[in-house]
Amino acid sequence: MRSLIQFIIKYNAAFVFVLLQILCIVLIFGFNDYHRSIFINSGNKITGKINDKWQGVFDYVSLREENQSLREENALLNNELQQRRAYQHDFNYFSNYSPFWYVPAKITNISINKIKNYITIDVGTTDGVKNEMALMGPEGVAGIIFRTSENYAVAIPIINTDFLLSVKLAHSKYFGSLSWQGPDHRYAFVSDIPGYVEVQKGDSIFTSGYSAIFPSDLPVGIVDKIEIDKSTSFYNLKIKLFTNFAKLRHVYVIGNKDKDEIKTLEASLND
Amino acid sequence: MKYGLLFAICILMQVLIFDRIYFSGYVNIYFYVLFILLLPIQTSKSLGMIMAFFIGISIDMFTNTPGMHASASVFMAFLRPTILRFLAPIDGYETGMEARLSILGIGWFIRYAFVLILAHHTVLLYLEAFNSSLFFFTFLKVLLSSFATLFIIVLSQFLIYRK
Repeated sequence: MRSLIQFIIKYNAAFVFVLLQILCIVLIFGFNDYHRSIFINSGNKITGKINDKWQGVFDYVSLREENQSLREENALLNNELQQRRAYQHDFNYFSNYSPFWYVPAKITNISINKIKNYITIDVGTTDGVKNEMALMGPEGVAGIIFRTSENYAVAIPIINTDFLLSVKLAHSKYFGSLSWQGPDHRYAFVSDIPGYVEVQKGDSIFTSGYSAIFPSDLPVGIVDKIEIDKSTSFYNLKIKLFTNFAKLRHVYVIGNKDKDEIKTLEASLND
Repeated sequence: MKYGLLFAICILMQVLIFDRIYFSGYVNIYFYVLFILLLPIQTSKSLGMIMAFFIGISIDMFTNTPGMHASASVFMAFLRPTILRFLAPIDGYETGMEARLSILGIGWFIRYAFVLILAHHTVLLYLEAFNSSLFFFTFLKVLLSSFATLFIIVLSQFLIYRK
């Protein structure tokens, strides 16, 4: 026993090193999701507040640019509203009901230079934001809400290797899945589109609406480079994303009132 | 006390400024390692590692990377005494000496800082890229980021400790 204690004292540094590294590895790889969630918390009380306050400084600096982009978006939405109105006038039976609702939010923290990037926004459960809601930027899809606290929420943006989204081609309506492998925050990839479909550079990519998270037909990006995987004869499309994550400030959280209903219905199939 | 202040400054500088600077995908600056570099030379290995763990985990809290910065920082603090011994001047370090550029000279500081920064960035960036096929990309990223961090840290030494 005494020699053991002497041994530990003699090599105390090595013991501390091993102990701390084990602790780190536990944190990194996590026993379960809960352990991780304690640390995925750029939205907690202290770190959230600091980021929020500091982001305020940048907001002020970029006010002019921000105004411009909001005006443009306003104009776009107005146009769309007019078209809708005219359309509804003509076809009165067109359903008024939309299950989607929007919460405006501001980004308090965002990273774009990692493999696993996250976005923290300044709305949380008190604003009705829940996990697995959609995050939309002014130009296009941004990410999916992944953790929420009272006043903040953390989202997985497209530019995180864990992100996956069902998308479709504007012209051919074929479906594929969008993912990101890094490192460039301007581009993502779409796979699973069969090679016989006609695809052209510059084709738009929209959300498919098959996930109950995103409404359909939200803009995602345009095709930038077309490659065919010889072994599977599926396309591997490089997509230029509409959302510019380096400049993203204002976003919308999109909730779906019918999501629980859809989920329970789908879950009942598996029983 | 002085180190408490340095601890806070390093974290705030990292989180509020350097995490928001972005050049291409290749260069990230991890300024906070300055805290570990500037610990007193006499600091015991274990104490150094515990301090490194705390600054690493604090950065982790801000950046949503549980354990990664902590692990890299602890590794760096583990190597530090060995590197210090290697680079010791002929007549050894004086008692209470600090590992500062203004005391030990620029050549010494750059060698000392570069080896440790390289070790830290290698661990950190490979942990981050774990599980992905980005080996060469990460390799380049480690090198470029190390030079960037070194540059900023040496620069900060000139700005803060002017004679």
